[in-house]
This record gives sequence, C-alpha cells and structure tokens, in this order.
Amino acid sequence: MSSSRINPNITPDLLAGLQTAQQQLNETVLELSTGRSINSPSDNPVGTADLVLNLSAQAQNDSFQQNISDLTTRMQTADSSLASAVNVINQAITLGVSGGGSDLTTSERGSIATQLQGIQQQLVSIANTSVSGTYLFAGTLVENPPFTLNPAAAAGVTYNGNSSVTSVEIDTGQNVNVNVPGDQLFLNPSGSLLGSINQLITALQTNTGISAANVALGQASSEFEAQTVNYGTSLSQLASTGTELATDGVQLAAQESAIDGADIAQVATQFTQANVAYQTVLEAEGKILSLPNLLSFIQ
Amino acid sequence: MSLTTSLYTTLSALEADQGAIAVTSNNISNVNTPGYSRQVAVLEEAPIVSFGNLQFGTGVDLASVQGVRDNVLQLRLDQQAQTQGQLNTFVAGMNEIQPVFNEAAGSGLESSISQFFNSFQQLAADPTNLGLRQSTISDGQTLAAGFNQAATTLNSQQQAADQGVVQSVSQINTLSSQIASLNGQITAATGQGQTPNSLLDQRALLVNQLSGIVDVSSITADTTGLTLTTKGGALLVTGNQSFNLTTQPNAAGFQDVYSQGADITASIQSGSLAGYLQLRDQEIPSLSSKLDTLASGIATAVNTQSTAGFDLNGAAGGNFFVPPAAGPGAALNLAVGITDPKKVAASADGTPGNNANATALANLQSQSIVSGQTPITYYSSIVFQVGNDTSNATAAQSGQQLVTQQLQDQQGAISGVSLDQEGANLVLYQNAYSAAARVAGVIASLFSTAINMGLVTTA
Repeated sequence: MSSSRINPNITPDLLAGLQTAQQQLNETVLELSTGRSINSPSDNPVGTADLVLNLSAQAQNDSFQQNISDLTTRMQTADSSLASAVNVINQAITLGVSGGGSDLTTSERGSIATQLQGIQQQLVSIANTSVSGTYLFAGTLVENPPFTLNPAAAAGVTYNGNSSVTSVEIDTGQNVNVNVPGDQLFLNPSGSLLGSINQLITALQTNTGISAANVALGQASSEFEAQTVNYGTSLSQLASTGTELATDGVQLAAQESAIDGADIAQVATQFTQANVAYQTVLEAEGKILSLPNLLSFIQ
Repeated sequence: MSLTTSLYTTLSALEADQGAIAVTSNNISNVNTPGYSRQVAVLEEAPIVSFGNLQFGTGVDLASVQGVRDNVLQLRLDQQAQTQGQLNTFVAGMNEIQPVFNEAAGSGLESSISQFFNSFQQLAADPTNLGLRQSTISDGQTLAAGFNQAATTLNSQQQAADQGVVQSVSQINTLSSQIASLNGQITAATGQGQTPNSLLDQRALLVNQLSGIVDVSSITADTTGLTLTTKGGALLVTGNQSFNLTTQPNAAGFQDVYSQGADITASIQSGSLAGYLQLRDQEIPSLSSKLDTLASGIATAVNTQSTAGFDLNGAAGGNFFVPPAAGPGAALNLAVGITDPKKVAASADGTPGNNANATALANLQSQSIVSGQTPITYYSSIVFQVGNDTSNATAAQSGQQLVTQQLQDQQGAISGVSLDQEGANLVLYQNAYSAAARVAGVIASLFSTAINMGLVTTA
C-alpha cells in the first residue's frame, strides 16, 4: 500500500498565496488612492494610448476656449469703441443739418466747422483704439496708429494700416474674422466716414456744397454702421462656438473618465474583498505553519 | 550455527539501524537546506550461509544511502528557470522605463507636445503679443527638455542593461568554475564506487542558478560528469574544466558576449542575460529610435513652416529648433534655436498682425508630419508599445511563476524532507535497534548458560 507523496515543504506555496493576496490588496489601494484604473501603461495599453489622444484633444479644446475668451474681450472693446463712434457721428449729422441753415452767418458756420473738427479728431482717436499696444483697426499693421490727421489729404487723414482681415481658428477647421480694417470702416469707398466729415468741414468753411456733404455723411454713416455689424456677427460666432467647445470639453472629460477612471464603488468592494482575503490567508497560514509534526509527539 | 554467528547477525542489525538513524538525523538536519534531496537508507538482507541442507540468514546490510531525486524534473526546472530569468529581468527593466511614458500619472510627453502646438494657436489670436511669443519659445524648451529627459532615461536604462550583461557573464563564469570543480569531485567519488549525494545536490543547485542566467543545455556522460553548453552550443563546462565567457565592446560601445573568440551574443535565447540583451539591443533601441523619429519629425516640420513665414520684424523666419542631425540623437539633443520672442515667425506676409503662419504652425499637430501620422498619434503608439510589451511580459511572468511553483511542488513531493516521515522512520529504526540489542542480551545470557554448563557448585 502506497500513496503518492505530497510536497512536505509548503512554505513557498503559502508565501506565494500571501503575496498574491497582498498584491490584489495593493492594486485596489492604488486604484482607490488615485481614483484611476490605469496607473501605468501596462495596466491597459490600449486605454493608455486612447488616453494620450483624449488628453491632447482636451488640451486643444482648452486652448480654443482660451482663445475665444481673449478674442471676445478684444472684440468687445472694438465693438464698444465703434458704438461710441456712432454717437459722435450722430452729433456730426445734427451739426451738419444745422450748418446747412440758410440764416447762418459765416462765423456761425465757422464755429460749427470748428466743432466738426473736434468730432473729426474724436473719430480719428476712436479709429486708433488699441489694446495692449495692438491697434484694432489697422488691418495687420497693428503696431502703429493707423490714422494720422493730414489736412492736405482729401479725407483729412492718412491711413497707415492695410486692408488685411485677420482670421483666427476657433475650433478645428472653423475660423472667425477678428477685425475689420480701418480703411473699410472709416474710409469705405461706398461711403467714407472721415472723408465725408472732412468734406462737410470744407463745405461749411467755404459755404459751398453743404447739402451734398450732408448727404454724403448720411451715406457714410449708414455704411459705417453696416460695417460694424461684422463685429457683432463675429462675437455671436465666438459665443456659440465657445458653448460648443464647452460641451465638447465636458464630453472629452467624460471619455477620459471612462478610459481611466476607477469605478470607486466597485474598487471599494474589491478592496474590502482583498482585505478580507488577505486577513484570512494570514490567519490560515499562521495556523498551518504552527501545526505540530510527528516528531512533536515522539517521547 | 553458533551463538557467535547469531551475535554477529545481531551486530549487523545494530550497525544497519545506527546507519539508518544517521541518515534520518541528516535528513532532519537538512530539512530547510536549499537544493537538498532527502536520502534513504537502503537496507538489504545479508548473504545466507548453508549448513548441510539448511540455510541461515546472516542479518542485514546497509547497502547504500540513496539521494531521492528526479533528473527529468530537475531538467524541466532548469528550463523553467531560464524562461523565468529572462522575463524577470525584462519586466524589471520595463518597469523602470514605464514612468517615462506614464500618461495616466501625467508624466509623459503628451502635455508638452500639445502645449507646444497650442501655444502657437494662442499666438495666432494675438500675433504681436510678446508674452505669447515668449510662451511659444518656453513651451518649445519644455518640449525639448521632455524629449531630452526621456532619451536620457532610455539611455541610462540601456547602460544599466549593458552592466547587467557584464555582471551576468561574470556570474556565469563563477558558477561554471564551481560546477566544473564539483564535476571533478563527483567523478572521483563515483570512480571509487561512492554515491556523492551532497555533491550532486550542490551541483544541481548551481546548474539551476546558472539556468536563471543563461540558456544552459546539459549532457551527462559517465566518464566526464556533466557537460554544459549554451543552447547555441558555446561550451561552458566539460568534466572538471570550465570555459569562461568574455565580453568585448561592439561598434555601439556595448559589451557583446564571446565564447572562445566567437561572438555568441545573438544566440543567447533565455535566462536573465537574454533579458538584458533583449532590453539593451531590441526594446530600448526600438523606443529610442521612435522617440528620435518623433522629435525629428516635429522639429523638421516646425522649422520648415517657420522658415516659410516672417518674424515680428518682417524678416524671413528662421529655424525654431536647432535642426536635428540625421540618425540617432534627435530626441536627446532637441533644442530651441531662438531666444528672441520677436524671431517667432507668426506672420505669413511680413506684416506684424498677420497670424497665418502661427495658425499653420499650430495646425501641424493635426497633420501627418511623423512617419505618416500626427505627432500625438505617433506618440500614442510609442506609449502603447511600452504598455503592451510590459503587460505581455508581466502576464507571461505570472504564468511561468505558476508553472515553476508547480514543478517545485512536484520536486518537493519527490525530494523534500518530511518531518513526519523522518519521525516515523526514527521510531522504526529505534525499535529495531532496541530489539537487536535485546537479542544481543539474550545471546549473552545463553553464552553464560553454555559456559556454566556442567560446572559443579559446592555448597
């Protein structure tokens, strides 16, 4: 009668069992403490590669949103400058109408012309609005004031900017125009604002062609307001894209969490199980190791 | 048959039982000795003697003390040690490399790459802003530093693996010479008809240790003892002679393994030496080369786009990065070539407010500028490789550990010392010894009876 012999030295097996239990415990502790199911690339190679793409998309999304925030501030400044210009233009129109009165004396017309020169300067000042050293209505020649007063010029000003429109990408493949060049705003061929103001000043000073100048100013005013609408359009485009990006951002964050977020409830349960398993193995192995053998009973 | 014969018969039992008790006590003494195979006292009936037509036994002989071992199982354990040694070394090395690419913990290159391109995106919204221009340079420097750091870590891991190769070779030589020396002693003892159990155990233990380092093939020949070669055929030990492996630097400056003048590096397939070689010659070069491709791809594309634009002074744009040299080292030496923020070529037409080139630079991140992939997609494939190779090796390592454990259990079942069994044997031999001693006592009293026979006592 013989039975197959079993390995009398069970210590290595016991230690291996203990190690496995401890490793499971460590893994759940790590997941709980970081809140992530991926704590190194080998935990989930495909997930980690996806995570790289997701984090990059999130970073780009953040960058677009930051741009939209900065652009919105800058374009609101431009928009409100242009709104203040509209008030000034309305004053000029009123002055032009009153300057066209047949009962005015030369000196009264001269006085109106002087007021209009003040308005001309205000408009030039508005046209030279800058934010942090960047002139908003200079096309792309943004480093210098685009308009300088020049009585010799037909429009009474020299335009130093260019006619370039700057377009900024605010989402992948989606661009927005962030400026209207100064010449298009203030010296538009379809109605030149600064030109018509200068024309009115000259008309009042010479008492010739005042009504024609008033008509020209009226046209120029309409054209100016039509051009300022571009800013409103761009601002609303910024706002709607900003909302879309915020939504995308939330989705991307949700995706990230789906890729590497630990299911806390599940991990907590696993932790409890691993802890119980570890304690149980410890207890059992402690008992096994202290078991007597036959020699303990031999007298 | 005489009483004397009976006394000698009893004496043989006393001697045999003493020997058996010595074997048992030696087994108990070595219960925790690594590599020890339990020994068994082999008792045999002593030759018989004949008187006329009667035959009498003459007691018991302790014929031999046998070590209980299974050579085939030992061979499997050795092979297992080779696979296990390679996986352990490879996994340990990969675990050192993983932190370089640990995106989940935020320690990889993804954020530097994304941040670098997005800084051009931000610059496009305000191209004359010197602060934003400076950001593109400092983000470029951060990216370059990230690449430098990653390449440096890979290089130092490669150096460490090279050190591992040298140390492994030195361990192989030490073990080979110890095995050769044991071979000599075993052959000598065997020649004298002995069974040198303890030497055999020691040699098996050393061969197992050697198997953990290199792929050992063993051939046992009666005349010369054990001959050991690598699987590729390089001779390590024959008889009492060992053959040292040597190392010599190769073209890349790493140590190759030589056996008697021949380069055997490529033929080493398992053991920790193979693990070091796999890290040093395959995995790390593959990762380094991909990192170089990525760094070079980004630097070249950014430089090309930069030189197509104009800086803030209206001058033609220059290289943003120091142009990477061809071949290895692009990641290690990546550096930003400009320091003046005005030199960032954001404009496409030379006017300061133009942002078209900055936008083009930012959009490089979604173009296939690195081996037909976008920088981030290419980078994610590197991260995948690191994760996947580590994960596969770790899974194999766990599997192999279970196999090893099982084989060790089997070996323990055959060769391990059981205190219960030894306890039982002890009682068995003790009883036999006591019985024999008792018989001797009886024979002594019979002698006394015989001697006193016929003696007349006076009252």
